[in-house]
Amino acid sequence: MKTSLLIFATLWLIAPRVTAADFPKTASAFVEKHCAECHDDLTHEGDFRIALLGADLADEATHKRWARVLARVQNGEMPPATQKDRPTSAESAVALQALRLAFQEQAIADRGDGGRVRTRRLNRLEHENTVRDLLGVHTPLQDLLPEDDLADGFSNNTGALSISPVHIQQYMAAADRALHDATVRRTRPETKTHRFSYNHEDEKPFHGHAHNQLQCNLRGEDLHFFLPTHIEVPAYLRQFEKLTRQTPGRYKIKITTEARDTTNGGDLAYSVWVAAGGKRRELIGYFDAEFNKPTSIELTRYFQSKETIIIAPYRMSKVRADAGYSVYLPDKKEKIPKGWHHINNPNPPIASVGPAIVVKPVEITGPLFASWPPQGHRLLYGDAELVPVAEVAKTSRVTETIRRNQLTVQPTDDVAAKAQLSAYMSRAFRRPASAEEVDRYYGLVRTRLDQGECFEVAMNAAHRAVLCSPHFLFLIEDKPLLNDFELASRLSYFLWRSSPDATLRDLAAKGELSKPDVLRRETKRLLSSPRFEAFIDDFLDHWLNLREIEATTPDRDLFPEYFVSYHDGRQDGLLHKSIVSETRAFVRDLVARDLGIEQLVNSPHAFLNQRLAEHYELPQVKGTKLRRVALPAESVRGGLLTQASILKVTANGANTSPVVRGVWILERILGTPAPPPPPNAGSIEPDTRGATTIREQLAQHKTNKSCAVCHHKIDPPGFALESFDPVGRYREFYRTTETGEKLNDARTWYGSGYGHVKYLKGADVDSSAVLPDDIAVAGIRAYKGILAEKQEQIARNFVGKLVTYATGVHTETGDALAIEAILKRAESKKFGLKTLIIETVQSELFTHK
Amino acid sequence: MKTQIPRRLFLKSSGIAVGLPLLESMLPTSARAADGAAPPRRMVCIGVPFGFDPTAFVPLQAGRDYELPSHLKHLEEFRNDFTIMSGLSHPNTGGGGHKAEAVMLTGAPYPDYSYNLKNTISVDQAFASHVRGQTRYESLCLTTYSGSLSSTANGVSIPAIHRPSEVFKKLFLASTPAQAEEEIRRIDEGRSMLDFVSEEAKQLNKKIGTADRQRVDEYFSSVRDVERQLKMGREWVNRPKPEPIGNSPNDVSNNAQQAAKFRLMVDMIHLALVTDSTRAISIRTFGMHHDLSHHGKEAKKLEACRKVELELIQAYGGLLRKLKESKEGAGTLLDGTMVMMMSNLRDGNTHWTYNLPSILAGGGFKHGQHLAFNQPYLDDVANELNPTEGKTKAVQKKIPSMGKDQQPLCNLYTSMLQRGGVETDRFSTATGRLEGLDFG
Repeated sequence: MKTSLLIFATLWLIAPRVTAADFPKTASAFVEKHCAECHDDLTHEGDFRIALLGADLADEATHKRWARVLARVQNGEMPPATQKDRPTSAESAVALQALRLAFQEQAIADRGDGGRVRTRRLNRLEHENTVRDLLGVHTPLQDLLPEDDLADGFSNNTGALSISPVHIQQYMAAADRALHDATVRRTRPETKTHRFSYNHEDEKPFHGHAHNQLQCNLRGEDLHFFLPTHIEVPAYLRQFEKLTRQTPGRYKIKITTEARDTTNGGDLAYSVWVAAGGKRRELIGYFDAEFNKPTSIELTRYFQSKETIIIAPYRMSKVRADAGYSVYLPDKKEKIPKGWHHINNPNPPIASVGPAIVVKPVEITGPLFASWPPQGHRLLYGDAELVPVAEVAKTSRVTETIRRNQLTVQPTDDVAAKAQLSAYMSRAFRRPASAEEVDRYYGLVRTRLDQGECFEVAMNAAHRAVLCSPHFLFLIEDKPLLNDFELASRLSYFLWRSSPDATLRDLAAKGELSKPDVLRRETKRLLSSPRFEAFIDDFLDHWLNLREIEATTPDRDLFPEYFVSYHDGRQDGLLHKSIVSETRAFVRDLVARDLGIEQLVNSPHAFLNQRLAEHYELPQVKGTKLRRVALPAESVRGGLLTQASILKVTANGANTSPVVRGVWILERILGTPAPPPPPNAGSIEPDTRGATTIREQLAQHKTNKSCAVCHHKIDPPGFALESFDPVGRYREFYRTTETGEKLNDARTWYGSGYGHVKYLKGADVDSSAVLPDDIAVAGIRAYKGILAEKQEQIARNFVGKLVTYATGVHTETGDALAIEAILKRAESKKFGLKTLIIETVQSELFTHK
Repeated sequence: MKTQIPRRLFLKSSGIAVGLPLLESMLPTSARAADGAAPPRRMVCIGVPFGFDPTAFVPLQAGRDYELPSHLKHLEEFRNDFTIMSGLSHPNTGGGGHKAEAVMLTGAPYPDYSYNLKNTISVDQAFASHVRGQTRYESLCLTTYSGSLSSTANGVSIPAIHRPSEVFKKLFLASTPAQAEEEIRRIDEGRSMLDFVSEEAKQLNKKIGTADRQRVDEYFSSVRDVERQLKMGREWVNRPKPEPIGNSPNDVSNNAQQAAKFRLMVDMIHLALVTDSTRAISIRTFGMHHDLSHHGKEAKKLEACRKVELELIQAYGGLLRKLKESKEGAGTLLDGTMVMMMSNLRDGNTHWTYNLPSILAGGGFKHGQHLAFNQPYLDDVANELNPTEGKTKAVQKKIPSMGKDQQPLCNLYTSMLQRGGVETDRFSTATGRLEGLDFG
């Protein structure tokens, strides 16, 4: 009954009309007509014989064979382009639809009543975000939990999210910490605005330090940076650390800077970091210091206890050297003898002229509260009055922790406490808690109150149990059609990686969300919110594998451009951050403007800032902020494939492999993953001494037939990308270290001065490739042109990834029909990314289990 | 009642404990070797991600009379205390590369890079569950940079401790009576809550479909396991911890200094074993020289890579030395402790996952030999060391076949588990014990 309902629903949307019964007849007729020539019993090309196809999809082997037919025909791979008498698109459409319908039917029959999705737990990210939104806390929880396993590249996949005793222990610890952080035990801290300047008494230890005087010095209240600091301080703000030690919380930081004495009145850049214990912890961002114009930036974020900020100038040594000043002597050009700038030198030179970044006193306002007590506390304890601990201690037992603080909550009556618990439980379980459930959990509270525990401890027993309950930890979906609450959860975790907000909860409670137009409207709302950033970060991390951006360190000798200081191996932080930000900004923009999927692989624009433009050798762009720039007509850039982040995660820091990059494209963009190599496949022994190029080393992939069958698809895209090195720069020759020509005119920055490059000029890059069907491409531009024509295929793969990510289960052949329907609805929008997401949410794959 | 030695023990002020002789009276009563009783068995597993340069690590001859290659020369004084092995690997971990670090101690299949891994229990945990309850800590999982080698029965990675000071605290930081009372209360609270939520899970399972129950079942059994752990933990709360030996170490925060970090952890491992705080330890270390490991055969880089490898070997020797200098019963602590080191890659440059470097010391085995399971491999290494004239270096090497010129690494783990008293014929992908490795 269900089956026919589903088929009816999908039929409504598809033309031409086919039924499941058409499958053996229609598909077989198609195959007979267009495939027999190469795949009959005499010439079974690729070992594929249509006589063996069979008609019963319940049989595993038959299923597999027809799945191959579907995959290769719908992607236009088969029949080959060179074939005469190819089917018309209408013909293919009919056959394919019949096939898809049959697969869907089979899938439904196989699954019984289960649906695609099994109950799964929240993953680490979802757990942390959910607790954050439930209790309004900023407790770092992800690192408490074991790393989630990946399946199909994603970390929120049902199949990979197992649970172990380790998880349970850690969930308990996480609950304790979060509840502790959410509970108020004092009067509201006063929100004050402080003006912290670096000439304060507290910052003195660092000004007195001879070493730092070489790099920066105070002029009144302002700090002038002439050079980068070796040591983090003095731009480590101790006064702020003192403040957060007392009162961690949300603070608004206003940093005012100015650039002076730069060549041609140029601007400078600096970075701001969260720091603790004298060390950098997390980058907040890079910002511009404008020439002769004090400009301020405002950052608001949560600071944990003892956290503070570090302000560090960017590439000042290079700026100084480029302006003609010594990086050591205050006002001379020539380099000084070794050791002059040593800490024990009684007359250290003090920089005083030349380019500098001026940092004015920092204004910090906080701690900031939306309300008091904060929302999380009120969700836990309601309107329970906060009274001195001593008072509560008279009639009940208080813990050490409570005793160490000023206030604690006074008991409210049973009715109020229970009502509050019900509100908390309903929020936590993401659906209304039943009266009987509330009774059970309240029993935990009542028992402890009767044992003489104080109100906070007694209530926490229930709070903790909720946070460790399967109803909180799991995404539970009951019937095949998701109810409103389940739908709200799925939508919210998909696009915001967290539990539903008030608006979604409201609509769910009213039963509105399941209405298609309401669902559509809500999808758009979530897509346009700043909270959509969570999707961009996490989805791209997994889909494009950007999560491995730190996995390799570029070779210093081969790629000095990636470093600000060769000797201590400090990477160029602005470049490193920008390459990831670029990809995120790029995709975010494609979604926001609903641009067609073609632009994913071939766009006329890129997101650039000054450093990226420099890295990509494009016309200059000013400043640290990313902005959309139209690319020059003949540029190789544009689209994901030529972005440095992608090029970095598909290489190993020293050399590139066309196979690795080819696999990346096939799996992540085209959706035609290569089968794994046979167990006895040899692997190459990398030899970067320069004698042999990668093309020579991979020769066997062409000459050996059993390699070629897969590698003729894998290698060519990789060869086209050989024009790009492991850090994403365009190259016309390979950089090597042992065999090659010396490059006498090439110099690079080493951190304190320019010097000859250490790499040699190796062989020229040959980025020509021959794609399947004998299509020759000269290089990346031609390849991107070919890719851009495969819009439907790329869109199909993209939707498959969206569905996998949104539902926690990978897509299968049985889902092909529903995916096709999504594509059909986005076709007129050129498969715009926003439309694809919206239509995915509308699809039965999303609204059903 | 025998008294245990009071607090004032001699030590270096640097905070690193010297290798102390294991004084009988320092051990908590349970672990003392009663007359004639065998000392307890322990297991230390060290996993490193980038292998070793074969020409420096693999002896060219098999058997007892092998010549020590350059790295192993630094372990010369322990020649009769360790067995070097070659020709071992985990079957079906072909394309895993770095990802296959997850299966170093488990042997679970990881055929290619995009495989959805279903990991299994690691050998140290298999051993730990066997000696459960006899020590305060079931096991210690450590690291000197990130990640963990150990995993539970259903393949979940057990978080590793990366600060030696934290280990020190675990071993020695005693609780005041008030703290102990608080701890007991916390444990009782925990058990009560777990009891409650496990009931929730039971009720939930009745309502949801059969297909959905798998994870809830896992949840249920995990909750039960933690309840059991808490119960056991409760028994240890009131047992005194050993008196601290030395001062808490000064943690090295810079991950680049793997040798320094590893040496600090070696100290902690020694202390943990000497005080019988645990008998199963795993440590993931020396994972910061990835770039060097991809030397592409360039002389300078290869040299630098070998230097790092040597630091590791020497630190490993340091651990062996400490254990050997601690007396236990009629022998040494090394006799009672299996110290195994291996890597998931033969070497970082090739990324090959066969002919894995492996070395086992202590544990009372008959050592002093090179167990070679792949003779052609020894020939290859010999050839690389001294390339014969006219012979062109093959760019592609042949893949050994499991069972013929390659044996499962889990055979070694099986022997180790058997030595540890675990009744098992084969652990994970093993085909049996490791041939040639006998008990002393």
